[in-house]
Amino acid sequence: MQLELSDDGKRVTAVIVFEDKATENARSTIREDVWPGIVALEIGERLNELTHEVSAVLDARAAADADFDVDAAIANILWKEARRYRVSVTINDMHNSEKARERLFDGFDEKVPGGVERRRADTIYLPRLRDWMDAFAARVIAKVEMIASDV
Amino acid sequence: MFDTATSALIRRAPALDGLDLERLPKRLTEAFADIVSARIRMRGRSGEADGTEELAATLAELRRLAAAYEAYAALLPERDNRTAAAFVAASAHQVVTLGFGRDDAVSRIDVAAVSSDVCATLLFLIAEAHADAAETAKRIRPNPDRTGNVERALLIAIRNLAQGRLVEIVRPSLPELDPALQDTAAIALQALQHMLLKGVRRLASQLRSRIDRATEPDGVEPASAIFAHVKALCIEPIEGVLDSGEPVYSLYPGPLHLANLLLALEGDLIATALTRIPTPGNVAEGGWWQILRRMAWARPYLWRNHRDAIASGYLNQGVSSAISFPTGAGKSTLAELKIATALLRGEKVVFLAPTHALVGQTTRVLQKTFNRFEIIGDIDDEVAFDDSYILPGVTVTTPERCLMLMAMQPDMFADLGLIVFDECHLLHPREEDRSRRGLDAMLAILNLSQIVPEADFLLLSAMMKNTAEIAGWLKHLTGRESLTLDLAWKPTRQVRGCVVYPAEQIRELRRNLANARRHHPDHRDPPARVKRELGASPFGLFSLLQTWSTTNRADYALLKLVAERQLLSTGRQGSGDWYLTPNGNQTSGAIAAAAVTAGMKTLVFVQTTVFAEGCVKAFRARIEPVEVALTEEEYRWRELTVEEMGGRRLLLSQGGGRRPSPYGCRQSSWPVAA
Repeated sequence: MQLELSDDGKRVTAVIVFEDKATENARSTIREDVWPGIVALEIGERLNELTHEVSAVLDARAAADADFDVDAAIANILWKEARRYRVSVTINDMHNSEKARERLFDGFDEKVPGGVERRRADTIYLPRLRDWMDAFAARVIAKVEMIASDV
Repeated sequence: MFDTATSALIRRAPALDGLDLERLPKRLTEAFADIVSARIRMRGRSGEADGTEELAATLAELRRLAAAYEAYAALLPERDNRTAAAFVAASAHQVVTLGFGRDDAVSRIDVAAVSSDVCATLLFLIAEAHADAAETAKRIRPNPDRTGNVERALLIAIRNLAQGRLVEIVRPSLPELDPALQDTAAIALQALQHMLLKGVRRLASQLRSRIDRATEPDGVEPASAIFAHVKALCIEPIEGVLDSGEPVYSLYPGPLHLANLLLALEGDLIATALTRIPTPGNVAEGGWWQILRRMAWARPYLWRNHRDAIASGYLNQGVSSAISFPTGAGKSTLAELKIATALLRGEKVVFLAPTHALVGQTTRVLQKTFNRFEIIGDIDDEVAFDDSYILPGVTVTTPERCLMLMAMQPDMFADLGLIVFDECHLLHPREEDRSRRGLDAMLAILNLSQIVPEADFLLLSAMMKNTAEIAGWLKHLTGRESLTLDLAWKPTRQVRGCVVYPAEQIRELRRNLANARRHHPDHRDPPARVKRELGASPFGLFSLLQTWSTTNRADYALLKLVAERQLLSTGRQGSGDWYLTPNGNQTSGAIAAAAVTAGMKTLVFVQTTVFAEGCVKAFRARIEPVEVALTEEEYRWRELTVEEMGGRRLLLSQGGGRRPSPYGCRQSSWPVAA
């Protein structure tokens, strides 16, 4: 989750909810996993989780900056529901074209109605996801071991 | 639904764009009535019935309200209006829970969030709505299979905190951490829950002690320090993630939120502790503390009305009071405190209660609190002739018996310091009451004031209108100060409504009935065919205020109660004309059946025992049989009974564990031998 701030950094204009998915089947992940989660948030079903997460982020931010406007942030995010969504998903060759990427996020505007700034979709092209993940994990392990041996 | 004091509190909530704070108490009541009537109408089904979309919009609005004000109460605890914010948030949570009918949700405190039952309970505590908090806490139920030991102990400790069972928070030993956990996040969560539990236990001990012990280095940490520590552990900045330099945090929102709510209530809750009441004048500190400690066992919190009374000098010697609090607002707590001051000054107390049953009950309650003093109820008649008899610490008796004792042994009352009269509205004789009770009660009071002019009076009632006048009279009677303690606040909430029918339907039925009368001039009652056509649709007219005194449409909500028309009944006038009657017993049965099917506990009041039996008898036909799954043990008992009795046909409860349940809840199908 990320707060979107006004230019002076004192006011929260919206909260951005992230839905980041690494998958080998992008469309079905979006349809069966991402959309229902977003719809639940939009109709208020997961509001408890969102409230506590937002309140934690605001708490952290307010502790670091005494001038931060908590009242306005609460009013904007929880009362006026200034909420935006960023869906990021891994794709392979099947969706690696403009048309296919468009189809991939088909229905986003129905699930999240309103201005276009509320919806953001990202893809990352990883044709061999498993191999990439393995390689990435191996590098992380190597790094962790290096840090551990330094201590 | 909200009394004037609570409505005023709600209106003090922080302003939100587009929210009419002036109307908010009514809006919450309206939402409550909306949801209850929709549940009755839909009989617990969701979906197809009418009005569902509006209901969904109402629920969504309440959730936003709960979310915004909950965050406000958690993040801005130093604000004056946080109690108002907390109260509105908790009330909105409460109504939303009601909207979902049978609440099977499980209480939890996990990494991401805290369940709304726990939040609502703590929010009510922040708002000093102790009775609401205790009620809401009933919904805190750990999952028997999934909740870990530490989380379970924390949930139960919060429930006990709200219900004032402080001993049960501190008595159990701290649960062990589960060593089998592998996942780092789960281990961290458990450690945070463990710390929060320590904080709640510490808070309970602080609430039970007379003073706050000074914190020594390496000494006992106050609860607030523990909660603040949890907060610090829940927020970790991660450096160097974003190129813009904007901070990024790793968070544990669930435990952090809980720590915030506990921090918000900690200071105020300690200020409400009964154990902290300053020792009144001429009372020994040691004895006072002993009594407070016993009282705090069952009722550790002083409500605002109690604290206001004490602040205005209620406990001082020489101060009398007339108290008119509604039922459940804690008259007995105040009475016991005043009695304690008299006993500890070495004075005696006479407690007048109108009936023998109340004399017995009051005696038992007082004996429990004042275990070191002699409390006697119903003094024997022989005492009246025994001139060596000395009154015990507290004498609980009826005004009549007290009058008799005073006539025989006036000297016996010489060292009386306090006269308590419970249900003092008895002083006022009702018009139809031809007994001497009011007169006797008045004589008892007047005689006592003559025999012991130094004694203070404490007059208690839940039904006294002219409290100030009575207090004035006490002042005149004693020649000393007398307090008026009455209260617009009520510890319970009710939405009141009555069943009404559309006027055009009633007009039409009346026309039909008049026509039928013309067609059947020699019938005594309308023929069955006509009666079957006398259906009308019942609506609930709910008052959004506490009273029915306005004619403003906006102060009422009109909501459909049951989908089907209900049959009205008829009566016959002296002239022979037929007229419609409400058929209230049938209609109330139908509404009750719909409410029960929707999972709401329902009470039906009828005028006579005959009606009560009729209502019960008709009830079984009104509701669908509820499938009851027997547990294995119940099934074994059932089989054993079948074998013992010699066959299934001998069981009153037929079928394989199916039985109509009039309460809509799970009941074990207990076989009864015919």
